Amino acid sequence: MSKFFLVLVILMAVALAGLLVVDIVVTIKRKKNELTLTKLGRYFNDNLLKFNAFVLLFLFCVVWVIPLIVGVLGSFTSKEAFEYQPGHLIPTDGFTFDNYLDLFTQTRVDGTTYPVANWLLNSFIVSVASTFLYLLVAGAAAYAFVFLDFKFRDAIFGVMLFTMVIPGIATLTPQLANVANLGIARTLWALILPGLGGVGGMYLIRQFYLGIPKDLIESARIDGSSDFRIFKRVVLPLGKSVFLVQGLFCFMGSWNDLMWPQIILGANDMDKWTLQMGVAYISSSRSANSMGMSLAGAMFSAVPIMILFVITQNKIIDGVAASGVKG
Amino acid sequence: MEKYTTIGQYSLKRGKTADFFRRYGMVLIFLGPFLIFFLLFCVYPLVYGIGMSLFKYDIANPDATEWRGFQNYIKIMFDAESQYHKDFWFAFRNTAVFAVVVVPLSIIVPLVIAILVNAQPKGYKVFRALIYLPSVLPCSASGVIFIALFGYGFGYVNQWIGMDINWLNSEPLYAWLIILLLCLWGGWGGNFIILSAALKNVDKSLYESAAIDGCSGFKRTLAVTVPGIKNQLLLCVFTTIIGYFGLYGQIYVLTSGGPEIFDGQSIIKSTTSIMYYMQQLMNGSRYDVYGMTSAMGMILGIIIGLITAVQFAVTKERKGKDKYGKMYREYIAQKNAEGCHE
Repeated sequence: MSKFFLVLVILMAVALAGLLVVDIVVTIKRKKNELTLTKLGRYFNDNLLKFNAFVLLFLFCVVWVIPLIVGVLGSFTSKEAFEYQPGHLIPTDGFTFDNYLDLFTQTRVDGTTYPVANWLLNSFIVSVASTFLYLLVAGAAAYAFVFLDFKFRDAIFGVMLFTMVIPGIATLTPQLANVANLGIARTLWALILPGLGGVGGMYLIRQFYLGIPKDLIESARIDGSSDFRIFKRVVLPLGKSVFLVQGLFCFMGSWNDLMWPQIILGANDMDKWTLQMGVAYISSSRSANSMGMSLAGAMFSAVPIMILFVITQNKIIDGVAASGVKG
Repeated sequence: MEKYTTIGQYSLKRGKTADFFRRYGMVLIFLGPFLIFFLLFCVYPLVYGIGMSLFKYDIANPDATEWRGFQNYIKIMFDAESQYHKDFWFAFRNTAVFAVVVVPLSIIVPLVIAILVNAQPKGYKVFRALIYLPSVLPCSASGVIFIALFGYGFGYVNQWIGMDINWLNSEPLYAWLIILLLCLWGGWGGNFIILSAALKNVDKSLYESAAIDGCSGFKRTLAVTVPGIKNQLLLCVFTTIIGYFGLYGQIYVLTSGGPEIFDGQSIIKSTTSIMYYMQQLMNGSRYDVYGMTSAMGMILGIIIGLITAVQFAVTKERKGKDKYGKMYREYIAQKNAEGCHE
């Protein structure tokens, strides 16, 4: 057993035991009414629950972030360290940038290098294009459902909502055949276009539009604004927050996706792959030799998402929470 | 007088017609693109899939398909001799058992953590972000990290605990355990956020009256908190089950279906999930299995549809006003639970 693990376990045990002692002491003193005599006592009297929660959450998070730390530090650990000196978070031969260089320069059996730049570019194209196209198409459709009046409006919307209960797994194969018949299999279009028919995001945007006062739109109409103008000048600015949330969901969804690109793009033409496929491929040997490089690739695929998340975390969390509570 | 009304009616009628056309045009422009994509990529594949499942469909040569009737379905459901039947139900059993094992863990742990976060200790927003962070990572990245942790010969965990276990490629149970850990680490963030938002909405006065009645902390949790968030708990249960029917990325990255075991007749990839199995068939060397995989998709669609129907029956809201709201919540929660599968 390594020192790191021992220290971790001992620290955790000590912290938990300390917490227990504090709890018992506070409870006894509270019963004796001695607690409010000192400043510290008053603090514990008021905040015992918070104190407990803080310590427990802190300990939980210490364990929770270990994989993240391993991911980051491991990507700076050399092949030799993985091979001969495994298990050290801080490698014995020091940190190195080689994994990141290898990712771009290491030659494979057939003499070529991994087309990592291509993968990155493909992933960015697919994610950005599907996000913006979806927001445009679904935003316009939601506008039609809320602010325009036409026959069968609610019926069409109801049918669309009903299709959401059909799981994606049921239409996986026909979607592939569909894409092949359209002649866009093995292209990035096949990753962008099928998502544009998704009802979920359109529903989210529609829900937000429903909160915009109809009077506002009506008065804009009476002032002679066309629907395009209203859409561009009134609805889009007002809906910024919902577009941000839905855009983030879209971006993360297509950036993180692994299965559909694998089915569509196939195993042969590596240049057309997305980053996730590439990372999965590099790591598929699961050997010490490729580990550092795989982790470097994983960092490439994780860091953009992490940055996005850190910047917009409150929006994302509110968006997810709203999906479960308000609706 | 009569003439005037006629003109009035006439102009009104004209106005109406013009208005109708103006709006119709606008509707086409605004709704048209979405409607086309929706029909082409949501409705059409479903209809086409039902058709495909009745054929021996060759994707390399769609014209040379062969009528099978319900043979595909019969083969998958009942033909004990068929390899498809064996593999499909093996993968199905794996997936279902895994989903059932995962559910209590991915409800109870997030619930406890959500209760802690809801006490709002210092820096709870940081904790919340840290706990949710793995859920937004792509599963190829988190999978690679778990390979680094549990790989054989170079993995960190073996060194830390002083063992020499081949986690990913010896015993099926070990491999499933690591897949489970990855699913928990990178998967229950959505449940956690939904539950902690639900906790915030539980009526505070209920806690006070419970405290006055002399309820202890633990009892209070059971008697007030859990009923207060019953709907969200049920939502999480069902969406987690349904979500894990799409289990794919974790398996692909961590084990690729291994470890392989020999059952006396053939070699079985022991950590095959239903999605992984279908992907292997579709990306495999045979081009004529697509009718079969469509039939499998339809069977799974019906099974998941039944689970969803049970969910609707169980969580039926009495208000009855917000029927679309619930469908949407489900959809998003499902997406979150699925994480990176689709």
